[in-house]
Amino acid sequence: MAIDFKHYGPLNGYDELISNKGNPRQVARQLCRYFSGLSDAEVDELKQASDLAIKTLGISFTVYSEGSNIDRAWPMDLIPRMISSREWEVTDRGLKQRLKALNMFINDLYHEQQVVKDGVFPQEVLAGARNYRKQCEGINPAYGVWAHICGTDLVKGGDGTQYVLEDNLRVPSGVSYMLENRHVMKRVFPELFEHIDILPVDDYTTQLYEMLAAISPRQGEVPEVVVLTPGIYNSAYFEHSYLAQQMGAELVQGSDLMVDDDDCVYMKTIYGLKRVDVIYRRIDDDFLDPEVFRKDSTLGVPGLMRAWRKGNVGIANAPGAGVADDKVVYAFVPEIIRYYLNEDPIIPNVPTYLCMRDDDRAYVLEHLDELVVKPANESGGYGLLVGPRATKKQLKQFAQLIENDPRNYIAQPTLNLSTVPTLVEEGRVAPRHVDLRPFTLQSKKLYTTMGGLSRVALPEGSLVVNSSQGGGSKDTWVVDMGGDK
Amino acid sequence: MLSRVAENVYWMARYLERAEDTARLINSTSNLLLDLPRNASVEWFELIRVFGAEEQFKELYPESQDEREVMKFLITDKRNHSSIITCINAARENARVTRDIIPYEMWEQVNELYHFSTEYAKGSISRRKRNDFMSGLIRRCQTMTGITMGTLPHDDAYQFLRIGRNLERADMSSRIIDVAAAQLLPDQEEINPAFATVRWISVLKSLNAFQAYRQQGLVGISGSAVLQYLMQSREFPRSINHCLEEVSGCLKALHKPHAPRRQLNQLIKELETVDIKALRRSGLHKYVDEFQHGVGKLHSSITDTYFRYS
Repeated sequence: MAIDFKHYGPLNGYDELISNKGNPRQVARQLCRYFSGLSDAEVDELKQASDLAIKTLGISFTVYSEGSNIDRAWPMDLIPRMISSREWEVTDRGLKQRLKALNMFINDLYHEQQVVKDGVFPQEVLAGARNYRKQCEGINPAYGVWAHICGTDLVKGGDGTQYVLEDNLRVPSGVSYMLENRHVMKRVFPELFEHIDILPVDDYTTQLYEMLAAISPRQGEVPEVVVLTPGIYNSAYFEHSYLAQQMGAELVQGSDLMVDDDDCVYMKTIYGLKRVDVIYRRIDDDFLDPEVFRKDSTLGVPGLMRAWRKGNVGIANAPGAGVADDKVVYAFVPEIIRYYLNEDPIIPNVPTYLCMRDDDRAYVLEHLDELVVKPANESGGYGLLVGPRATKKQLKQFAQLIENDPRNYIAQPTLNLSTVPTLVEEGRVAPRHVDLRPFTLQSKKLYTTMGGLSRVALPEGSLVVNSSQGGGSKDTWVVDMGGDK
Repeated sequence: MLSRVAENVYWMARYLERAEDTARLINSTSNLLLDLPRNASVEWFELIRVFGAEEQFKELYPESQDEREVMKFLITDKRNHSSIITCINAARENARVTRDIIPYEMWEQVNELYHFSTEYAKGSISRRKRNDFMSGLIRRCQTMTGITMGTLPHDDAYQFLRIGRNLERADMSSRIIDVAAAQLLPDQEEINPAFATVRWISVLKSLNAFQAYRQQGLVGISGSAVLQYLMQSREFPRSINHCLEEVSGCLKALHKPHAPRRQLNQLIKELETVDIKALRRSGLHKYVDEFQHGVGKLHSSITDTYFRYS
């Protein structure tokens, strides 16, 4: 039996590919026709081809479980998520707007703090911001940009409205999977790429390199750009090496680098020390420089902050940028956009209750079983409560956590995330919830990926898309439909 | 190029070569069985001697030292640092930490080799499927060498890779020669000549040198001629001399190779001057011992110069 979109469902909420009447949306028509025309055997064959490509290309992610690291093949669903280029254009503008404002905000926080003085951003939120680094005050990174790479989590609600769910400004990952998903899809479905005008994603690494080169302190010379990784046991190691390779940059570990008496950063090469201009770091602030942050860090480079403060090296993302990667700060981003840019936010936030506010907290505690509660500073879907799915015991535990540390919690209505048809077993497709993580770059200029990484929650009804928790992924096709734009 | 990365590339090549050489050795020994008269038998423990792993082996397999145990130890035992599986895993881990510099196709091939080995290694402990696995493994390693030549820029990384491969190969060839000589070279007593010939052919085959040796137009198979060929031939890619010359070429392409070159030239000089025909069993063993010690010193010198100088 071939894939049958007519009996697809049950739809509850918004599906990205299929309308409520059960017809493919315009953007997905050709794709649905193609898949409907496949026999079970053909679908199976394609699935195998894709699995094999993932295996031989070595696309993997690492999960940490029961004290050891396990390398798993990257899960990718065959059916892509599709977005029309017209829709994407708006999203693209919204993402750039957001990052631009966030960078002005961060820069302000480490200088005049005008936004606090003007009463737009409360002093007590800043005081409780765990990722605010006093050591960064007064530093002037190039272009006033602190967050050079931002991974923004976008979701759609039941009515198809798109929201920003999270801004990831510390060391966002996932972009390599976006690129590799496309790589695999091109291998498996060459004919689709011929007939559908799918906009390319592969210029990301070039853009990333240019963005990094632009923050080199020695402009006019070919910069030495390195990717700083915590090493092979990090869950995103695959991505670190992938990006370094694609950019032609050295992939370094902390022990490969040193800061010399001249406060410049050097790497240890076979022919001696070589000056480093830009570090794309993929380790957290805490571990970056044992002289300044955690003293027990062996992943970092002693003296790095000294070199950075003197303007001898560019660091992306800048230390301290994570201050805006805080779910309480998130709630203020629409105001931040209005304040710095004098514009209305193009993509709205998900309505957010701040537990630090008495009224909000009272509401949250009363409606705990309807809400999603998140700690302010966790990522990867850890430490989160999905009210409608929680046990009585969990609800009680979270109520206590919130009462104990209200600043550290926010709550949002449980969104009925949009769905995309997903292969669940041989020849059958069913709706599965997705989110989207595009990546936005900023130094001299702004750039957004074409689409992003679509993550999909594989168990029926599940809303958790993180790969560390059993999520899968999909290639994301931004499709130029021609005609009026 | 980062020192750490250079070291990883070097080790990746060494491990791959070790896995391939082990596969060749196992294959030729298994084939030898078929050529021997029914009452003669292969002493499998000999293979353990090649690796100098007698002690560890006896500790792990105190009960029996038969074919099955030896094969387990050499092919799948992860406790053995030179087993095929350990080598392939280590090669892949080294490739993984250098993925930013090795071409995609190289990574794909290492990865494929890894999946192939994890899937089929176990089955090769029994004789029936052994040849398939070993040949498959050798072919994949050779593919790797080809991909490396054809896709990796012939820069410093390439030199370190070749140094690793050739040092490992020279070391392995010397080990095979050493063990063969211990059994086959006359010392006091004479050895049955027909039997010796079959064994010397097997030695040639374990280094894939039989055909090449024949094409030299050398008459007959004599111990000293085989040894001379495997040690001093300039043309044969697995002879010790050839391996050392390769390393020499690599060092020339690198900057400031003074210390390793001194060490290497010493080795080459000794190899050129040793009178193989005059060597008896104990003399050869002593020479090989010194040679391996010299290879170790060369390795240290390369490490000190390029990988861990500070």
